[in-house]
Amino acid sequence: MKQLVLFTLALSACGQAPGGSITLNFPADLITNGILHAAVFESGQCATLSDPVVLAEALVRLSHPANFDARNEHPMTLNAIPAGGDRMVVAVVEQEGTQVCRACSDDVVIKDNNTSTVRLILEGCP
Amino acid sequence: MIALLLVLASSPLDPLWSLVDEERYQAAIEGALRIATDANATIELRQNALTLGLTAACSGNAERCDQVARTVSDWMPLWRPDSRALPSLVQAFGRARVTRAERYNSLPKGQLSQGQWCGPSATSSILLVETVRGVQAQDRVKESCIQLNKTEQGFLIAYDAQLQPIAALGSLSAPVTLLKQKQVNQRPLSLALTIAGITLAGVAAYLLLSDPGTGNLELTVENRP
Repeated sequence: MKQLVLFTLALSACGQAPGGSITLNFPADLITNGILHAAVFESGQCATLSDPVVLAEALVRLSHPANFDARNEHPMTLNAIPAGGDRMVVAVVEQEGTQVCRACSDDVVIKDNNTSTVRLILEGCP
Repeated sequence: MIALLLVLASSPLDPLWSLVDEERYQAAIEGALRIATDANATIELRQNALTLGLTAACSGNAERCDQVARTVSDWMPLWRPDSRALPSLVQAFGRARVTRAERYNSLPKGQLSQGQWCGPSATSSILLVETVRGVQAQDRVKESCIQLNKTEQGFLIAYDAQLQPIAALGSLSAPVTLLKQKQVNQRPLSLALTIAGITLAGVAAYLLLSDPGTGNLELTVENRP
């Protein structure tokens, strides 16, 4: 019986993330100009988006320096998003650890082996 | 030049991080692997060198991301990258982890005898990952054999001098029984193993069959003042 309990405990540990860490050296422009986060959530409605957005709950996320081109645009590509029909896409600008503005689109469809296109408009960003 | 920088720096890794900053990734990788394969260096330094090498290999257009990810995954099986690390690094390391059990299955099993396990003649070091009540502990030796003492269950892997696995017994997800228990306990354990195996196979089959696949997203963010 004792061995059975031990084995069950061992099995329950399967899949748990062992501890680990990595030191990240962010380029200076990430700090000074802010960070543009793009995140895809499994589901959700933009009308009820939390403030601040909990990026850690995203299925897939990507962070770039918050720089925009001459047309005030910043393209980003997010890969390996689990396919689904009601994904929510959020863009957030973070400066000095604070989310200063955001844009959102919901009911986005992600199809297997396909590329979807979404345009988000940030308004009122400092 | 790299050797001179190593001597002058306060930490052997400092000049290598400078190489990463200068986008001289191949040089950084070579320097990191040189430290990582140095049997006289401390384990901590060797592991830090490996993670540095992985960062360099997965930065920019470096082509050795998968190769170094496999080496790091093999040498530090309990390590995982931070979720905020480079996406290419996280993905390459994930691929290395996913294929790890398959790669180990094709390796020799080593020689398990009473109280010890030995790797092939080319073994430079051995890692034992011991599983006790769901907690995993590591024991690394620079020998071709390792004493198992009272270790009942675990995963064993032997490396050559280049950190490449050359023998493995079990895997992280399926540790093997290293010390036989009393015969009276074998039957319930075997039954539990069978039930657990069938359950795991069922869950794996369900997950595989229900996988919806993945897609990509081209996102354009417009900043409208």
